[in-house]
Amino acid sequence: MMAEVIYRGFCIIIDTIAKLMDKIRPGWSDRNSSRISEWKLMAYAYSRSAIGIVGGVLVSIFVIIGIIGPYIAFERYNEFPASVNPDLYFLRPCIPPWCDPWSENLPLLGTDNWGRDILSLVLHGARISLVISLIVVALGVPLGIILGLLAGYFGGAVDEVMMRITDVFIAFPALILAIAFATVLPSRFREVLYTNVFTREFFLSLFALSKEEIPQLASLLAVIFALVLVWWPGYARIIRGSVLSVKEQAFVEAARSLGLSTWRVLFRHILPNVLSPVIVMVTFDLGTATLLAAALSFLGIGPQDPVPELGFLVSKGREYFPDKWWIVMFPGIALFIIALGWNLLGDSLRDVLDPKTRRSLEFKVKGKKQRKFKSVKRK
Amino acid sequence: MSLIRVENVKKYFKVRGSLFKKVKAVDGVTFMIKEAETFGVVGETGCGKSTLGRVILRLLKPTAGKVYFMNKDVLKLSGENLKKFRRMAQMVFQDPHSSLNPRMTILEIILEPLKEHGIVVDDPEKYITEHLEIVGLGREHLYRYPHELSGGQKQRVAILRALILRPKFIVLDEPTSALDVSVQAQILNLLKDLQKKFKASYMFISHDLAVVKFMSNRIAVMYLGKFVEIANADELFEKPLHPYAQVLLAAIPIPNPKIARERKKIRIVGEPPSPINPPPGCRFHPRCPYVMDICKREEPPMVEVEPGHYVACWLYARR
Repeated sequence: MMAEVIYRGFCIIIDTIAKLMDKIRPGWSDRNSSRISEWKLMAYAYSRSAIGIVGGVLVSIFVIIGIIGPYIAFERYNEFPASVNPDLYFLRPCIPPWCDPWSENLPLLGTDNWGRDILSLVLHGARISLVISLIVVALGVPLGIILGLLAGYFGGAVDEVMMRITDVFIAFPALILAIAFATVLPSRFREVLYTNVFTREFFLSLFALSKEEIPQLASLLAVIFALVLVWWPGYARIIRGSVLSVKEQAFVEAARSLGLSTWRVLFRHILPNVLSPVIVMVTFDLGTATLLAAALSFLGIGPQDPVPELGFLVSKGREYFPDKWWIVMFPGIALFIIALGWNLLGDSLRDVLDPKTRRSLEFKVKGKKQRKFKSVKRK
Repeated sequence: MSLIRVENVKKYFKVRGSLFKKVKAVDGVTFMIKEAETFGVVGETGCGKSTLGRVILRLLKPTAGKVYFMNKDVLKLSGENLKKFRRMAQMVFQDPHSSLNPRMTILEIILEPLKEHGIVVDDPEKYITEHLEIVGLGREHLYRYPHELSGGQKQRVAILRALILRPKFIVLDEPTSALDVSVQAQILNLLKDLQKKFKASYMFISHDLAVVKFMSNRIAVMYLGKFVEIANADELFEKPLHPYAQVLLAAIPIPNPKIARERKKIRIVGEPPSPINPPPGCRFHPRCPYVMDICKREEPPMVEVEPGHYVACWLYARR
């Protein structure tokens, strides 16, 4: 029932896109009917996977909070209410069935050592985590893909040199490498941020931080940079492996015998055929990057007070842990949900994006009742 | 006039993990292909047929030897001339399932060579549809992906992709061996029709003797990287001279048991030796029923026994 509703919803979205494209370029849906039916099949496969839906819901909640979090958080992270009113130190969380936050005028998730509202901090922290994971993946993955493509396609000495460098990066513990970078880099970044107004404003608004936090922003960027540097080797390896198998396929040789340039062969024929494992990996890695960034902050390498990075909040709450458990607990739960969401989503995407499992699903459906994945009837 | 002239071409592959060992896939092959003829190459798996085809198209660089296309040295072409060569010499591959990019529609696949060679077509859809009809497909296939087509249909697309540039020479690397028999016949007939229509030369590589006989004007028999016999198709099948060719032809099943019983029986034992370390002298001598002393020492030269009928065997060569 639930699955049916979700599937219908996706179908409506896909049909709307098709109609829109038809208006822009007449005949588009006719030409792409194979693609559209494939999308619908994917939507169908996705709607049948319970973990996929749970993951999708968790991830969309996280993304939405990440986008609007800083605006709906009713307290700024850099205001310290306890300095005005000492009663606000370490207020206990007031969670509805046991306690009514409205009538008692208590914070939902308690307050920290400065009387800051934990819920507001977590909402803001979600934004920081989202941005970190997106930037790390958006920079690290293309880098890995390009290096893997080149190594796999050209082979020989190029391959040997690049893969040995990759090995070095992989052999070196990622966390330690990231720590090394994250301790050295902030001062450089700080200079850039102070001198270059555009970069500064861009990143400040990206993380929704205020101007006083420029040094913290620099160490945030250092964490990101460090993560990017340790991120690409995995992708380089995976892509290289896929390229090695794809480049032996006849259509690559056919493309070369047509006289296509190396770049055309690489980007038109090889790249599209090695990307599918990457999409799944990216989904997993968005979760892992969030966690690793949090781990770095937890170890004290990332931003410091008052920036509400989730890992840093956990590490700070550690001091008060058994008694004031909520300071550790809620940012920790937030991190847990983020990682869980991405992982569940990745798990189901792996099945949905694999044409083989999708095809078997199609046949299963056809056995039960005829379902039309076709959007337009072919003439 | 010869369209393709191949002179003493050799292609050795390095063996992984060894400095000196080499697989001699093609080891000194000389022949030529005339315009608008079909030159068949038969031999068992691993004898170097496909490698030879790829070397001629410059998809692989030969270790030694020369390839001339319309009297130009193919290996020395570069830039604009190389592009011209690529346009005039095409290839159709064995496995239609892997020779089409699964991420492109049929229209994109066939349009790509045109775009690459700067040929502008007013209405690509109409142009490609007309050509699809020539190879027995239709408008409804334009926007399909390869996985939506059958093996035979994919091979038709692959053939069209090779033909769309109107090449003079096409290497057909076992174009039917991945297809079932009824489809094979259709594709072979299609290839013959297209040859009449577009006047291209074919180099037809196959291990299937019946198919090669049906397709070819002249046939070369290949064994362990070398041609052992080149002759006109009919002549080769009537009167094979080289012992290996005789054995190969004797292996064709004959439907009539009476004739089959009367047929001269030649059998050979063993398997083809490794191309890494081919036997000295004639490569066929360890398995040859007529082996002589000289076969073990010296390689037989290619001699013209009758006009147009060449054989490399000491039985026919003057010592």
